[in-house]
Amino acid sequence: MTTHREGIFIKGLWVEKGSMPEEVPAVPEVGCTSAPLLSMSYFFSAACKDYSEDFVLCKKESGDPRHCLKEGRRVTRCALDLIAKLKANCDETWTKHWECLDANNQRLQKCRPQERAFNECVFTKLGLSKSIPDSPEGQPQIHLKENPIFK
Amino acid sequence: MINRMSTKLIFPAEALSSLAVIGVISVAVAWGVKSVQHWENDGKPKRWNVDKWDRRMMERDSRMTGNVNRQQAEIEAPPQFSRNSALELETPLLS
Repeated sequence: MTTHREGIFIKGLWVEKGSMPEEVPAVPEVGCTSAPLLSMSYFFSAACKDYSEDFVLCKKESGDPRHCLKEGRRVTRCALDLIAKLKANCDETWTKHWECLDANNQRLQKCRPQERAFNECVFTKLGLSKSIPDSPEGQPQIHLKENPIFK
Repeated sequence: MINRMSTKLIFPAEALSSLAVIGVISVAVAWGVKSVQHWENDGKPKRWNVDKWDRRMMERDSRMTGNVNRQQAEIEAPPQFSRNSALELETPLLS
């Protein structure tokens, strides 16, 4: 038996037939793909900080996947809430930004003008601002620089 | 005897013609590869410098939208997303 190799004569993709057990609380999954998620990631980290930290602390407590189901679902619901707010308030600028990211190999440095418009919209409407974790203190962050040499 | 002072510099067309042919073919091949990649990628450039995380996200995108390069920004995922996967099924030749 091979442990891992690429499929050659592929018949289809696996679809799970069983359902989740009753005791696992149901939650809808986030319906954004990679580019919109990357675009909103910094606002997610700002808006859902408490839930995310709670989840990570819970994960450190125990390796059992059943231990942190509730905390994980709180993070998912917070993300869904944030996406709903973004779609209600900044849909146009958000769409422009993630479409630009999608057309540029998801490189943030290629879409600074769109990002600036999106950040401004989110700050005025929702009061969230982007801050890059672990960036050098006392210096302007990379997305705030006008003419960065290193992007 | 050659008068070296009076020899003018003429454009070496015959010598450089081969370089021109190489250049034209290179540009044509690059353009062809690029257009094929755009064609099979919904009119977008092909992803490059893709790491493990990107591959995981592309897998997730394909489960949600049906293609690794198609994007969407809905609030909730479609219902089949909770059950589908990116695991390829294959009947073994020697069972």
